[in-house]
Amino acid sequence: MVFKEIVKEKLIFVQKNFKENSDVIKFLSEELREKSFVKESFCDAVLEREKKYPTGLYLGKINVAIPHADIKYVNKPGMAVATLQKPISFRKMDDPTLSIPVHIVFLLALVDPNEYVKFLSSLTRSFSDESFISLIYSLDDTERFVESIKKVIK
Amino acid sequence: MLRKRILVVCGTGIATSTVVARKLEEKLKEEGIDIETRQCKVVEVESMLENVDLIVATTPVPDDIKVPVIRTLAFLTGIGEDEAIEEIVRGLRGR
Repeated sequence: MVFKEIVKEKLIFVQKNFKENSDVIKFLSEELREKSFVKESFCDAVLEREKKYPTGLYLGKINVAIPHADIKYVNKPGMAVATLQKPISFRKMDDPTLSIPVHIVFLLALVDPNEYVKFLSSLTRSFSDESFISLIYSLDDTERFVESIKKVIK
Repeated sequence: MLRKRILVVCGTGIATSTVVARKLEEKLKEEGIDIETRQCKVVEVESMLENVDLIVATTPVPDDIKVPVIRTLAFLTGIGEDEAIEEIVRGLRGR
């Protein structure tokens, strides 16, 4: 149930091209807003947070970012995902003075993270599985993307 | 060893710190260490230090904090998790 609420095929975008990390965040935020997952102010809140506390996670070959914002900007839990044909630079969460090329962006819209911690833990746990990350990055089909994520969420 | 208190710090004090806190509870239980976690935003750290034995942070925290800080993404990415647990166990046993 929790999983179905969060991962929706209509919020998965594969093999996209953007110029800057703010463009990805704006695009994914707009999708979340259009489908009434988040409030209008969500996008600015995410951009502002990303500036202060970046969310790039260095995994090695394929890197990810998990931008998010305070729960007050969210109506219902959702996650918009984009895989990037050309990686885009994000600053590192643990060392914002450094930038890394990011290949997959998971934009999280959370209402009560305690309820969704299982989902988030599974998702982030999957980050250590290089073959899984490489696989989802290579997919050009959103249905298979959702299926693949479903397999790793326990 | 008495119950230890770990303050888990991230940018907003919600998403990433929750994942890290649950993971720490699970992993340290396996090590036989009883912990209690609290979570906060990085800007709140200084007001949350009372009775805290160790800080585990996913973002940089101010340098002048009196409590030992371990900055790691291991509990988010799974990379270097065992080493991070060892470091935390050493940090807690040393106090």
